[in-house]
Amino acid sequence: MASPNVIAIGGEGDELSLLDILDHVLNSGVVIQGSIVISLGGVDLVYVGLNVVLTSVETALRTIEADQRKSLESGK
Amino acid sequence: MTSSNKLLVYCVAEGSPQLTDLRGLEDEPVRQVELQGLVLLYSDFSTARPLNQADALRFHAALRSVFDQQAIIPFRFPTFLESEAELKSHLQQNHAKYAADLARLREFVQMEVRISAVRENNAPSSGKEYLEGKLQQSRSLQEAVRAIRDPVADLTTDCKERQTDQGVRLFTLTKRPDVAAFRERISRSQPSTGFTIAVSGPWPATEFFHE
Repeated sequence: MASPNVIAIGGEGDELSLLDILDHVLNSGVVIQGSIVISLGGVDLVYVGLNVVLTSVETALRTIEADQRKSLESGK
Repeated sequence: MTSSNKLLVYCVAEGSPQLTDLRGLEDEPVRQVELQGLVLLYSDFSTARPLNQADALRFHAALRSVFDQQAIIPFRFPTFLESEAELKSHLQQNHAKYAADLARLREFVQMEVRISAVRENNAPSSGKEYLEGKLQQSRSLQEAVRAIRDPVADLTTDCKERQTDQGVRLFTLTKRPDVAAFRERISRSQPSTGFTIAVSGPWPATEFFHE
């Protein structure tokens, strides 16, 4: 039996959590030189040059998570 | 970002992955350029609009379709190149590195275990108490990491740790057939007091590629 303090994410038949997916998609993988700006959940993530993140992705994701929690709590 | 007439790059893979009906962003077909046993997957992206969360998830779904078949080297979302000539040039310039990584990691996936300290609301009453608390937390965290690593040591070919504000992220290189056993053992583990554990994966082994 799994411990109550262990969360298994993305097992067979489960969906990976949104935050895990976004974290990997935005933070992992090959980076090619260039400048990009993307809008994610209303938060602009600005990347300049090779690998410099002006708005931290982790901070942005925490903001999204907090927004989602508020929406759930307010029943929206 | 506004983009027009660009190519969105997904990943590099060995051989000829099954791409039948695989669609990427904007429902564009995922195509490939091939060079000496490697393929680079991409799709057209010609819409001038900001990218959003749904795009990132669509990108992930396309990657997942290929990763479920074999090892891949993903590109960070969103990566655009201008033309097929640029794709081929990039693949040519990085061919040796990509080929070596894919050959080395062909049988492996990456599992991730996040070990996070449970936040306490007790504010330290002095600087000394704060520092002592930090020292104790650091020791406890190392014990928690050991308690997770030991049960899966035989399922782990390599392991990397990254410190976070909340604790540690462990990335393990694990053989694809061992994923279920890995999850099972982690799920049965008893985290050290004051910590929570979250395991996710399998992921492409991005932490173990050459820089």
